[in-house]
Amino acid sequence: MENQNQTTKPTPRKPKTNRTIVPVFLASAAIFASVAGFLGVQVASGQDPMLGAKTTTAQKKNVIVRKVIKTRKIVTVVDAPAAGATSTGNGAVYASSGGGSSYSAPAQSYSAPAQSAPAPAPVQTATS
Amino acid sequence: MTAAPSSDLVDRAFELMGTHIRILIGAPSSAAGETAEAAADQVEALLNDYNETMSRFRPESELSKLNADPRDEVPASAMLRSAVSAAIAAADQSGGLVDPTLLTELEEAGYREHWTSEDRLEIGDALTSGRPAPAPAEASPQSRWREIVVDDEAGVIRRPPGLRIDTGGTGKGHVADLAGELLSGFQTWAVDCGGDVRIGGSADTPREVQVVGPFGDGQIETVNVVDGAVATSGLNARIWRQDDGSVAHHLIDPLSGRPAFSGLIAATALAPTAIEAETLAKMALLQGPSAARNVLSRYGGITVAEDGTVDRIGQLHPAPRVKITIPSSMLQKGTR
Repeated sequence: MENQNQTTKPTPRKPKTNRTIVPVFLASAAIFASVAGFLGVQVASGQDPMLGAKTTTAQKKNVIVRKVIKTRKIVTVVDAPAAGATSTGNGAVYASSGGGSSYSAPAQSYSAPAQSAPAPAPVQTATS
Repeated sequence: MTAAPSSDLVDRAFELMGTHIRILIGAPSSAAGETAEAAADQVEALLNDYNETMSRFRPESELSKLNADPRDEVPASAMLRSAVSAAIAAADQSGGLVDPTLLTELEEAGYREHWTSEDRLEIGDALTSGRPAPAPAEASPQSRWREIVVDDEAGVIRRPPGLRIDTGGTGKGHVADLAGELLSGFQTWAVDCGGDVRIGGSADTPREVQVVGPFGDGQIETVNVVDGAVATSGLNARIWRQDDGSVAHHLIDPLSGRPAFSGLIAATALAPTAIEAETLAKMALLQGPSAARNVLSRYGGITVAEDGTVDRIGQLHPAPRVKITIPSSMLQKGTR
């Protein structure tokens, strides 16, 4: 039994040498550098592969250039005898003046555009 | 009374759609732009087209033909589709209060023909007798406006045959907005369609809007608008006495199917667009004094109650001025 055990005992493996690491590392680095360089050139030239293949002239799609301008209205009511003053609220530009209101006039300054030209004619709103 | 000098190069007024129309246009924004007169001609042509397309009193109008058509699906012009879409949007925005399917109820109340002021009852007389106690109007659970479908791709309107559409509650505001689209190249402009006023202009110059009271007491408020809209809805202009002595008008409570008496006589609303302002004004008027404050709080407005009380609603105190400037380079990138 003892002899059998000795004969079946696996022989210790020879430690691996590091002789193959260097060329594998060099090959990997070279491949990485070449791929990175190739992608870098592509991206630099505006042909990012993540954005798909570059369209040919025939395939080129029309690009709709659209500028969206959002206008925010601000409503402000000002009780003042002089009509035409414009005050600003959080955005836009309504102002009001009138008689018989139940609120007090805000005592603060507001800016009205300097107008050398006459103002637009007033309009009326009423039930019709 | 002589008119004060104004910057408007065109100030054109005429009667259309059973109401008064006024077009005001200032100088073009650029020297190469069209003239104010030419633009006014375009706006007037648009308003005439709209009237011919949408009038329910003209059997030959496209809307009348749609209402009489026995098919489920009816081809419709872009203008009709746009107007019906706007009416549906107003119904949606108002939770069904501004309902474009109440034409039968409106006719039963007596509004069957083109309105003439000869039939008008003085508001003071109307309030003394022949009307129910004030109560807020409500949307009807049986409302049918949701059955209307506008298919712009197919160019058709679908609705059950017999379901008649009335765009009278939103038409003036809608067409004022459409007219405004034609005037983007001018420094100042305003389109007034029967008190539904759309205002704008590249010069950002405020224009004065005088709010006229419903009791014949003249101007009760002045609102300056740079870019936006003001609309007024009220009982006093189209109110009449029926044969049985009861008082009726053109604003129907969807739930009862009868003219609404909410305790308010008139409501004026401010909003970014005329159709929004018109919808908000009608919502406020239909729901009465208490709810009107909520309805009008966002953009501001004015209500006049039966007893003459004027309530001004909205931002009464200016907020701090905040100006955000976006670099032009960002804008250019944003356009790509």
